[in-house]
Amino acid sequence: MNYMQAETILFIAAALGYLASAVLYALFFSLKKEKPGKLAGWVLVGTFVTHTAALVVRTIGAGRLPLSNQYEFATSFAWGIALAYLFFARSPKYRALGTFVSPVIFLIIGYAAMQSRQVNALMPALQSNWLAIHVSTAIISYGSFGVAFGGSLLYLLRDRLGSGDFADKYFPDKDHLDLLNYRIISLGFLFLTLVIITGAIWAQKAWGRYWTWDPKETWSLVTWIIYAIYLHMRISRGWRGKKAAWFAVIGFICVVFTYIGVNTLIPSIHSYA
Amino acid sequence: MKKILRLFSSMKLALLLLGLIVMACIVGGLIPQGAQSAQYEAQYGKGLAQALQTIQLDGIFTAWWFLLLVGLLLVNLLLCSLLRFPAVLRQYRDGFTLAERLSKSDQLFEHGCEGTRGELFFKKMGFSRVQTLEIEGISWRYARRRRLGVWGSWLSHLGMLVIVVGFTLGQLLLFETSVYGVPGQTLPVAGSDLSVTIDRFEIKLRPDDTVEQYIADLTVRSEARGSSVSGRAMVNAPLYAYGKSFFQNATGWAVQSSSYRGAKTLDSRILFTGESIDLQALDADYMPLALVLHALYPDFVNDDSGPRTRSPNLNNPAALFSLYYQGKLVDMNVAGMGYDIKVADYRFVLSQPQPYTLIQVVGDPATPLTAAGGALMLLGLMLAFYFRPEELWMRLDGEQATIFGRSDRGASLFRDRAEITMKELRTIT
Repeated sequence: MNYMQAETILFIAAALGYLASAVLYALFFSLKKEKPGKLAGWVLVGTFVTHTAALVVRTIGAGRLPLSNQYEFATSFAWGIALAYLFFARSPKYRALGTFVSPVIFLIIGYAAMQSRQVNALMPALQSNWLAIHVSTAIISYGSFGVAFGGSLLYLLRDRLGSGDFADKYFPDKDHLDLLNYRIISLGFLFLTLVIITGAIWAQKAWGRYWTWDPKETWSLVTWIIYAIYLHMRISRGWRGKKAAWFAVIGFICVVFTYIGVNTLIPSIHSYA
Repeated sequence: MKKILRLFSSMKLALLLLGLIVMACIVGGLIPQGAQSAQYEAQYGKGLAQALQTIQLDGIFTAWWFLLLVGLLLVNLLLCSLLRFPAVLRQYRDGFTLAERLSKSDQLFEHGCEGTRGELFFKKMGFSRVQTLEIEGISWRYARRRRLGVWGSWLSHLGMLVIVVGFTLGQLLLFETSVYGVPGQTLPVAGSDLSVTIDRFEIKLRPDDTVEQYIADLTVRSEARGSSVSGRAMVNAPLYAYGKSFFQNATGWAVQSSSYRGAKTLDSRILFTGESIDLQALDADYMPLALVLHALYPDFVNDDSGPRTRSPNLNNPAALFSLYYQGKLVDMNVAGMGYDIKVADYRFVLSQPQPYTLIQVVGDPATPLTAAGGALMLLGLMLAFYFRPEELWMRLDGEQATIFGRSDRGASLFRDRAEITMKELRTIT
């Protein structure tokens, strides 16, 4: 078995694992039964390990980090959301968050599955150490925003979920959820700033200009400003609750558009990303 | 005056401007920028295309109204930074004394516990330097940390301000041009005293014929300084000389072109793809004939897929050309190297195909300023998010302790952490 075959098997296993985890979280959430929720958490952890193995195998096979084309970034993006979720939502209190985050992970890895998985040699423009720094920071940033998106959806639905032993145990209260979203967005924002700065440094070295208002750059700036407004409103104007949650949802829609929409709908010098 | 100052430094204005800039960016990210009128007409129809161009939606990022928005944001950031500076400095320098802290009674939380647990609480919360004080016979403990964090928000705004100033200066002072040629040519860099000699140009291919790297060895000469700098420019690795960067930007094909009338040589030059030879431009008496070189197929084949190249290697080079007579297209064809392209007693011969390099020359003296702005912003964000100033103080009444805490920034995070830590401590027997 060569690296490519091994990676394919691990990747398919990861995609199916995320699907299974999403289904189990949905059962946990709708039936309000503890068991599927616990199982979903373990499946997600196992899947994350499998997914990590797929990325490691691809890294060894390609002789470089898998961050260079649509497939590689999509699979890494999904991995980043899973990592951020597992990091921020360690407590069983946040288990319900998985119901909203796991489908996002599955959709993004599903998008990756639709892309060509061929390992191509890097074109000259991508042969730079900045590639690894720029794209890795994007994965952490986008991953964080993905989890904040799930957290915000949960926040918006929290009132309808009622109360009781089950809800008290597994559905975080709104204040905690709001605070968690803020913490995740702060991290995502810091890393998005790094994404834009490292991208600018790289563009300066590769194209001679650190900012050219290319659609990808422009949409990254749009996303950055939206989250900057969120943080300002929250810190200075005391924006919490629903308004903040809606802002986080809009912010993540921008993230997805910056990644998928710009690449597929608008001509850009970032056409390989 | 105060009202105007307050308006221009207000958060409301900043948020309004950011909102408008976002909307402009969204439009600018969706509508192609700087394209030809024909493209807009084809895409949006004549009426809409005209409307777009009238309000400069085809060049949003250089439109007067967009620059006005950025200018206003700049003023807002500047005023905001200036007006907030004394308060932030005061906050940083004025180390609170416990007496001052007690007089304010603006604590964020209050927890009661045993005295020994209270001491442990300070440690668990990460406060190492704790002052012990006696005020009116009551024993107190007081500690504060991460004072530097008060600068976080201010620095990130200053960083943004420096970035916008650096970018604006860059737009004003930017030097940007390009030169293209084949090895052996020396090309003047327009608008400067520099010239570039292309010593060598190589397109390094992998075994599968994909490009591994474009390598241009250059010598840059400065007439004013009477010196030269030699070096290599590759993609992602420009050559720096005389305050400018020389980027390996693009490549294409060039041929040696010769034109004849009978046995007389009319012209001999290097012809780059996209260029033309106009005989009447050489001499008005010549036939009004022009040849345009459209493309070069290095490994030409004409099969079911039409004319194409099999590989990037020069195995069977052929040129795609068109001929114009009195400005009208009369022929379009493919010719091999060394073949005669004849019209009456005129002949064109294309030979010696070779790749040419396009070198982009850029000089932006404001780049270091923008980079400094980026660094300031990052530092500011890190301080603002992860270096929040915090204070703890504890009143000891015999065995009993009451702990108070305060944090200007990230209050809820601090309160939650204190609550969790206190819960943990209470479980310790």
